[in-house]
Amino acid sequence: MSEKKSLNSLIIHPDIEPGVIDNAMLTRCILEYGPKEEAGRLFAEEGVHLDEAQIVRLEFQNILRIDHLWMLKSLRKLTLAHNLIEKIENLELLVGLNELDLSFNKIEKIENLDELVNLEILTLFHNKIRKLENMDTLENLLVFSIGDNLIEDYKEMSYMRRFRKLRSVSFKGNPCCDDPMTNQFLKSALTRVTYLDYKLIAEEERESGRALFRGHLRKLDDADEKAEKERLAKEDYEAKVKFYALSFVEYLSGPELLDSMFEKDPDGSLLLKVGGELLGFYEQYKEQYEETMAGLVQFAQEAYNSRQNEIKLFKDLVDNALEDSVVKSKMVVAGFEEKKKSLIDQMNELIGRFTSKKATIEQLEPNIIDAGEAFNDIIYDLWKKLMTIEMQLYEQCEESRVQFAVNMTEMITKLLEVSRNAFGAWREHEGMWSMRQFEALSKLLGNKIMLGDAPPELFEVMMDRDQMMNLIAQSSDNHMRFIDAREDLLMTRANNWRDELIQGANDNEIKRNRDRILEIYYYIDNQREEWTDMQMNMTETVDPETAALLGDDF
Amino acid sequence: MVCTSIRPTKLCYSDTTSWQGLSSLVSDYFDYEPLRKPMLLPERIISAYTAIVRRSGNPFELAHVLVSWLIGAGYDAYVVVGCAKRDVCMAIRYRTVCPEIPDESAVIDTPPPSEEEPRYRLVPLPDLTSKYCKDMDQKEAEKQQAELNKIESERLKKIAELEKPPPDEIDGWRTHAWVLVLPGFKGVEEPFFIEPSEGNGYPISAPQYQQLDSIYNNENYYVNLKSCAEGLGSLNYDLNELTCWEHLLAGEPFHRRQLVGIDCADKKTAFDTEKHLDVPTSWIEKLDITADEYEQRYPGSHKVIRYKKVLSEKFSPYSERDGVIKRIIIYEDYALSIPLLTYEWYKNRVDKMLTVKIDHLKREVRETFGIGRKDHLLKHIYSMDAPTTSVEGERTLEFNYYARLDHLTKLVCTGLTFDEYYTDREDRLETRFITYTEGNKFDPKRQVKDIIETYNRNPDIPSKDDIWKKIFHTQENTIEILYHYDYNFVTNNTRFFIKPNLAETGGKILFYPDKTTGYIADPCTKPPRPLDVYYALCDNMESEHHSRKHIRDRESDITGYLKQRECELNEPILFVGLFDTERNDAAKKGWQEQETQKAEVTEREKDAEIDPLAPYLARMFGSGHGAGALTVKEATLVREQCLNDFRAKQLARQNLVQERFDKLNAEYKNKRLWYLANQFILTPEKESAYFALSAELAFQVHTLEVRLTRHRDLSSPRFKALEDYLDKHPLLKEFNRLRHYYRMK
Repeated sequence: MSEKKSLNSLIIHPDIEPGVIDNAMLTRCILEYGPKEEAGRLFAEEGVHLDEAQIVRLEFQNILRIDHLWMLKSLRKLTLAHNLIEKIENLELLVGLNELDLSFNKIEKIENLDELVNLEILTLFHNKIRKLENMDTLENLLVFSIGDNLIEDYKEMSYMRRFRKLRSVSFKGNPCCDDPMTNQFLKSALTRVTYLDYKLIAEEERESGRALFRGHLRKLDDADEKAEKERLAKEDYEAKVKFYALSFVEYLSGPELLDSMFEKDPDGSLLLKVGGELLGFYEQYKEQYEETMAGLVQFAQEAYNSRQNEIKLFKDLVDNALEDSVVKSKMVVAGFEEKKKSLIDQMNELIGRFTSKKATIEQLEPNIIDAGEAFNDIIYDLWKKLMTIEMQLYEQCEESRVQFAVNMTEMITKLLEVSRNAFGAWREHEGMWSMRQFEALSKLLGNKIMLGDAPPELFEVMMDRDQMMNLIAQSSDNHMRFIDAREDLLMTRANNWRDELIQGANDNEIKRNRDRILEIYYYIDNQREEWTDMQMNMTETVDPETAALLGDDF
Repeated sequence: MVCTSIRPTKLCYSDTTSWQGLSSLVSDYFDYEPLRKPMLLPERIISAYTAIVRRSGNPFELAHVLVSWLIGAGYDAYVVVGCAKRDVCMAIRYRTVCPEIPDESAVIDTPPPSEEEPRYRLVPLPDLTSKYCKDMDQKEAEKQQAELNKIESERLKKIAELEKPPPDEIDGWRTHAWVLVLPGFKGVEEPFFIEPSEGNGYPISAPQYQQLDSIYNNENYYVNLKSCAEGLGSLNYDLNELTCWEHLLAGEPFHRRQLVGIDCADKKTAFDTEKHLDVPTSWIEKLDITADEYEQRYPGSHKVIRYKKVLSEKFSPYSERDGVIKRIIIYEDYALSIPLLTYEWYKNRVDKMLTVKIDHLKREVRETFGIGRKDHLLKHIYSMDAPTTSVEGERTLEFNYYARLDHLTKLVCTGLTFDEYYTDREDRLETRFITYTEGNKFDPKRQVKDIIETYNRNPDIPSKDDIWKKIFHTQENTIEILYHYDYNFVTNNTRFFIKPNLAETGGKILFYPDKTTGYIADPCTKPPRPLDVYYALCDNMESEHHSRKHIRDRESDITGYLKQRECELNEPILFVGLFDTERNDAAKKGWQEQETQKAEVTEREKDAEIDPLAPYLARMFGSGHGAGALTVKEATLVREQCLNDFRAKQLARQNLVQERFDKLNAEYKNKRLWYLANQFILTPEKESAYFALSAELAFQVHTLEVRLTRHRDLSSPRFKALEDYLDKHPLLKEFNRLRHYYRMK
């Protein structure tokens, strides 16, 4: 019976203890793969800091589920090969991950990798994957291994074309690899990949593959090109918006904002459908708006440039002053080190005389006290000099900081004034538009013939004077609110930017000043401590003979 | 007339387009002969051409040559006849300062201060010094300075007094000739003089020229009418001014003529109204010099000039064994006996040495090299007393770091130090200073004491991990590491190790916390982990090992370089250009061989002129037939055979061509007929094939036709030529004589 059981368990179910990722396992694995010998001793002595580990290898641990990895904050390389994992999960927090090895597991689906944007090497060798998916965010992918999986259709691999940095792919061992076309297709379709199955792809091979799959590849190429174009256009647009945002006038160039204003205003757009004369007015309005805003945008751009220039001037001044002061201070410290060295030599000589019993401590005492005083003097001197330099620097820069704040405020105020004018002009255009709109619509009021082909709701409105008036007023109100909102946004952003800049400059300077003073005190304390240590050493050195006598006594 | 002895000539060498180049060429090219009778004009002036051949001349002859060349180069130049000081007339230079001493004072160009008022300024620190004290100090300093100046000026005066030339009895009467260049051409804006014996230009107010009698060139002769008492600078150099200059020939040279009011349409009236006279053409040959002469430059390949306290020697390239082309020696005294400085310039040396400066006081030699040496040496400064092939002497070597793999820029060696400087190295090493302890009695070799390596900042890693300096105290077994300063920090991290004794631990590096100390500049960071400190220790022990090995390698390298240098200095080799036809011996030999081979070939061809009779003679007498004349009978036979065969051959050829022509022509015609018959039912492809084929055929037919006519035209002259040849054939002499005789009859 027992024999049978053991046999059974051996054959069918060896009693595997499923591994669970926990602190103990992590520590064990980290130590196991950590440094060896003397370094290993130090490493173990210090204890494992999970949040500092960069490489963790959890191999052959029979792990069933990925979990409890979130504390490995600085992880760069994670190996989970040769386990029993069935699902990729709980890796979201390992954002810094560079290399992920999940080979020899039982994974069926690629998923939950979206957060790992820094991933360069991804190994999924020997799993049960049938489809390539959910990897769009892994833009930095360099090496990808999907060999020995269950991919049936080699066309699936055209998914890999989107990775611009991908250089190496291994694919061998999938069911579709029996088809000789697979290799041909991969070589021709993955144009950016240099190595397939760890072998360099020759240009002729690529060519022959290209000839075979011409139609299919052309389709893929076209799609790629289109996507690429869209991507570029989007990037351009975003860069432009970002650039304009620096001068607080994003979306103001061109008719974009006006269009969106009408979009957000159903009444206005409804009335616009009357057409005819109204459309001409609308075009006019649009033109006027564009002109006004172009002026504003241009001014804002210039203002932005002059602001940058101003910031650079100020920064240069402060940086140069800091540089000078650092150089001066370093020289002071070097001078101090020199003086200290001679004192230490002196002290060492005294200690030497004492330990070799040429003099007793009583005889040496005045010398030691002298040396100590001299040391105190030079320390004080050092402190005074360093602090003077720092205080001078702080005071010298203070005034220009104030001046800088004033200049910045002035510039922003000017910008706001111009923008106020521009927005005022916009409001005027708006008022004129609404008046013209009213006039144009009044002419058509109740005119059933002219409004024959208008949509029913518009028709209804146009039949009733009050209703129409209401609608116009509402639309105008809406527009005014929209304009107000945009102006407010510009003003608040500009003001905030200025406040942050000035406050930041002040804060930085104060922090810098405090850091420096802290450093000076810390250095001086350190020096004092060193000196006292040396003195203590001397007084504590009890000569061995006395010690022996004492030892006998006790 | 003296004007005709000027022959404008254009020289075509690289620097003979400017007056500077031409005048220095003249001064280098000729030996100067002062006038025999200093107050008189020379009795005769030899032609400029002869002067060039003789390579020496008096001032008039030199001025003629120079003016000829200057006019050839496009200047408006004149020979000046007048009086000058003795030093100029006799070409005495030992009272003038040498103009060619290289200027070694470094040029410091300060960037111009920005004009813009800075928008931000640092508040100036309060000035706490006493203004009164400053004033007093300044006054004191000024007083001292004034005293010093006085002493200095007195000294200078004394020197000037000493250096004054001895009195000259005939001062102001010494005849001399030099060159005047007038403005208007080649960017010359002011008139100036050129002294042909020196090759220098002088302003017209130069004091050494005392009187100007007349000027002339190949176009006219002008006599000065004004007094020269106020110096030559006060004269009016506008030659059109008739109150100042009397013209020998009425009128002006062509380029200065004003053609206003002259009717140019009719030649005769123009000639009559114009009233300008031209100097006859020069009687002198063109004043060209050959490229070899130009390159040789100095008469006898060598020229020595004594300046004040300076001796200047010049040599033609390749004339000296070591390739020196110029040497300037600066002396302490006027007698040129105690040298101070020697400058030498070299050319065409295989070791690329360009200049040498020897400082006899400091006993220091400075050699500079061109780029392209194997060891990429650019500059070598060493003490004359230093051992020639040892790194223990005082020397500095500068390298072309860019070409070197190790990016070594400079090496400074002294007895107890060895400093290396690097630029742009990938591992950011900047300097490595090595100090040695002196060898003692037991071990005379010096020992490495400290190695200090400095690295520059790597912006990619935080400053606390970026090593600035590594100091290895090899004799105390300690390592000191200084890290870079962080932003806004005035102290830096340091780390000090006492190296573990590897012999005790069996080669393993063990870590003892009490054998290392360190300072961390930032009070807010955690103390470093022992593991990292341990790694740093291991790294640096490794790096010390590398450095020591490197030092040994470097020393042997440098010793090798120095040996090489010694060799090069002792046995200089000159470089000969590949295309230098004069000196490239190997190539010359090759050319000569080629020439002889070519000559041989032509000789052989000449010998082997084809004798149409040869085959017949061979048939009759065997191949080794001598040159004996044939009897009449034999000759008749041979001649007949030869002519018959020729005729038959011509005929055969004609028939062959005719036959081919007929055949092709028939084919062509057939094709054409076929086409005419079928042209409406042919497919376009067939039609185009037909056209291609028929074009081809037509071409061939045409070719044959041409050959045929040519053959017909040529066959009778050929036959005639053969007959003529046979008539004059030496072997048939007897026969021909007879035939002639009979025909005459």
